[in-house]
Amino acid sequence: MFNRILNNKNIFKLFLAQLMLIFLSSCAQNSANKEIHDPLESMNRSVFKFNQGLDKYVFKPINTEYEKLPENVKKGVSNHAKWASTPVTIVNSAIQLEAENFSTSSIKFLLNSLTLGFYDLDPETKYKTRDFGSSLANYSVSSGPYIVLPILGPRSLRHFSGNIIDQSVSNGPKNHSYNSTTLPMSILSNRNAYSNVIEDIYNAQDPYLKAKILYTENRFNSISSTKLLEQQKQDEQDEFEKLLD
Amino acid sequence: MNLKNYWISKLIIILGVFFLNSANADNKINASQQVSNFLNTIKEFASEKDSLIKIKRSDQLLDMVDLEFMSKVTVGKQWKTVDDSEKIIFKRKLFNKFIQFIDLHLEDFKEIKFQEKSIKLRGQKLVYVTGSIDTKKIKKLDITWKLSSKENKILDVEIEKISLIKTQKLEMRPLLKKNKNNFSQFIEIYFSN
Repeated sequence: MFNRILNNKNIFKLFLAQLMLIFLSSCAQNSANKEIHDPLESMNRSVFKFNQGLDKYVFKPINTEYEKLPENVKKGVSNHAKWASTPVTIVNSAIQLEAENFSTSSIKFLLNSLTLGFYDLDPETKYKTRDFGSSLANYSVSSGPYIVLPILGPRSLRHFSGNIIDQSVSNGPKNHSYNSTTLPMSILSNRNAYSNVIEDIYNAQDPYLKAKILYTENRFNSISSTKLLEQQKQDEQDEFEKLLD
Repeated sequence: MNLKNYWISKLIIILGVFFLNSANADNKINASQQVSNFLNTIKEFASEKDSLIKIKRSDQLLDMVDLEFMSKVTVGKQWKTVDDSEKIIFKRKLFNKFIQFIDLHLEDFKEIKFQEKSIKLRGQKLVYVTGSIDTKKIKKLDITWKLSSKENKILDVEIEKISLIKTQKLEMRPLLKKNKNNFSQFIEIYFSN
């Protein structure tokens, strides 16, 4: 019975994601364009304020306590969170036809399964994190509007709809209890890893704008092809050289 | 005669390549040295308690960065229309913001370690020093220092592929638009924090 409900929930999620995708594919925007338009700015700013309050009174105090834990424990939590999200990278590397990333992430996932991901047995081997949002970008689906979600924070609509599908991939209908332990670990680990960045955002003249810029830049860098990134570097080099004249 | 000319032209090419390579190598060594000096000065600044020595260190840091270039990039075309006194105030405030940033993360900067991975010349005027940084909290943070090869000054820093100068530019853009004809007001609002 429980599984049936969960299955229905997943079907609903997939339906929602599909609706979003239809909306995105109807938007005639170049996927290589870095700018994300923000038509919901006033609502986004309210949610951002809510998140800021939540962070101040809930996540920041938790992070202060978490900070006191031994380095090995924190590293273990971060490794486990990354390991648990690897199936998403494996599936999306396959969708994006990235053979090397697919094999590297698969082998690393299997190897680290021996420690349930808490200890990285091969720290030298790196792979690029891939999600369904990046797969959509790869197939030229527009980023859609910028949205700020409660707790989850900034996303593009494409990124968010990708997240819904990714969640179904990483959990499956029967793995509910697994998600309930991994998700808090992931939140803890991310809040800790980005604590300096979050502090800088709050110290900015316009924290909302700063968060939006950092999200957009970071997302663009993590999902863009090497060719596109090199083109961007070349444009920047031309601009710099011109200004140095 | 033809043979002689052939050998002379060959010799000129070889000497040209040799001098060009040694000039390029010099640029790379200087850039690497500058990054190392910059980080050492930041470390000294972060560890220092004496305010006079702190000011001295901050002046040393000021000499290592190209504030004029940074201002040109962040303000954009409008920089040409800004008068000299406003330019001076802007540059000073921009630098103070950077010092405030170090002050905010003193504990991290005290133990900062840089591991150089590569130095590349980009075009005729730029040198990029790439590596990773370890601080107390964060390990193996990818970083690229962008320097001018002629003056050997730091132009920009890219952390995890995010350019600080570009972030600054994007942050300033809406406010600059709002205060298009009043740069002093823009300075006041932007640096009010």
